[in-house]
Amino acid sequence: MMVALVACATVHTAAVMVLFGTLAVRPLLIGGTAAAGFGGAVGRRLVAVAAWSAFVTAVAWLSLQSAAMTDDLGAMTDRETILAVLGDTAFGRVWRWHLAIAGAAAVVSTRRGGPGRLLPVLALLQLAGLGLIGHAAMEEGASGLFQRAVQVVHLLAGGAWLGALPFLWLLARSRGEGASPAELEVALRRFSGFGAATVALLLLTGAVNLWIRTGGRWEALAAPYGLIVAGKLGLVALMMVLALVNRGLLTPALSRRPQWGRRWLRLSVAMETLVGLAALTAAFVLGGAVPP
Amino acid sequence: MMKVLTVLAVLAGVFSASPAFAHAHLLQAEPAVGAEVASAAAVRLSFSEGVEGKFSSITVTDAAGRAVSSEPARADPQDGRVLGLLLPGPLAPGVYSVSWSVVSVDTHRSSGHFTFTVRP
Repeated sequence: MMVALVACATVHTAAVMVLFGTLAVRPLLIGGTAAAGFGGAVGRRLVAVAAWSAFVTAVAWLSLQSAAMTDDLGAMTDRETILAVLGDTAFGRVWRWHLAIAGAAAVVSTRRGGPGRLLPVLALLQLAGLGLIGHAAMEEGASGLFQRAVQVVHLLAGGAWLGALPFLWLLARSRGEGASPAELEVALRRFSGFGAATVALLLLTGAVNLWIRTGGRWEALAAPYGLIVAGKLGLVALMMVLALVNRGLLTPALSRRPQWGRRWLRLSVAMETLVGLAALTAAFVLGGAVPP
Repeated sequence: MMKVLTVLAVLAGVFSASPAFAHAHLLQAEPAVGAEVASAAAVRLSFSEGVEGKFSSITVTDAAGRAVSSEPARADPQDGRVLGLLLPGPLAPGVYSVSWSVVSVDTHRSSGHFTFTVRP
């Protein structure tokens, strides 16, 4: 059950991150370039798939959470239990709103005439809402508020980086609706500056988070909690290495060897995305583990 | 391959070990864990974090294994970390066993049990 819950939470968060990352980063990457028109078909499809996946997994998460809380698989579909979770628990008080926002985002994402201005706001609220559950929601008062705020910033920074990668991958496609080499190069240069800022924010909030969870006692990072933390840090470091390869090696190569550059860029971005997903999974394993 | 196996083993350990999910720890109990008391009108358990009253329970059974109260446990409205169970009337002397199971506000289940004795 816990495995299913971790998997569901990971897929849900990834979907919300893609929704947020694509909407937040798209104007920044291709705004003012000829590829802005690319914000049409492909970007819209990606956004719609992300929004609907986020909604479906938000429902599944509630169902799995009900089963986990009662330690009874039958509760997954038990209307009374699910209503009790929504009505009477700290998780449910957040999740009522989360479900409503996810549903609204899904509907808006497939609206004729494009997602409009509402969707980025819904995506932001949805990703921020994920910072209000779990370990960050343990404490009340000022300390609890601070923990939630740190978690929200951590999620938004993570979403802006990891969530933007599928869109970057689509931009790097050489055929069809992909961007031209010049546009791609501009987008990559812009993304690297923006990416560095989000990575810095991500590491800072992650460190604060870890400090809160361990109470500043680093020696408390004994296995298995500390081992998963180390694994997650390793994965993020690997993502950073891939990002540096993209920027330092593959982006300059685009003008000299466009086909070769695109191919390796796509592979590298795809790997960065997969490593990011693994890091996200580690985050939810940590969420289910006992902080030292 | 060995590394993969090690990682899988660690993950399996994290998922299967139930204490690994035990987020709310029992900090204090009235009657205290293992205590001998003259009488007990209620069981009051304080946890390390807030608990969801609706998904938490306390069962008190006598030496014969009969539940002494059919009431549901309730969270203290003043303090979300406290779960209480009213006991009906004076308890007969003997050993009583308390089993608790709670869902903490961060959604994790934990449980435990202890005994106390009512003196003759």
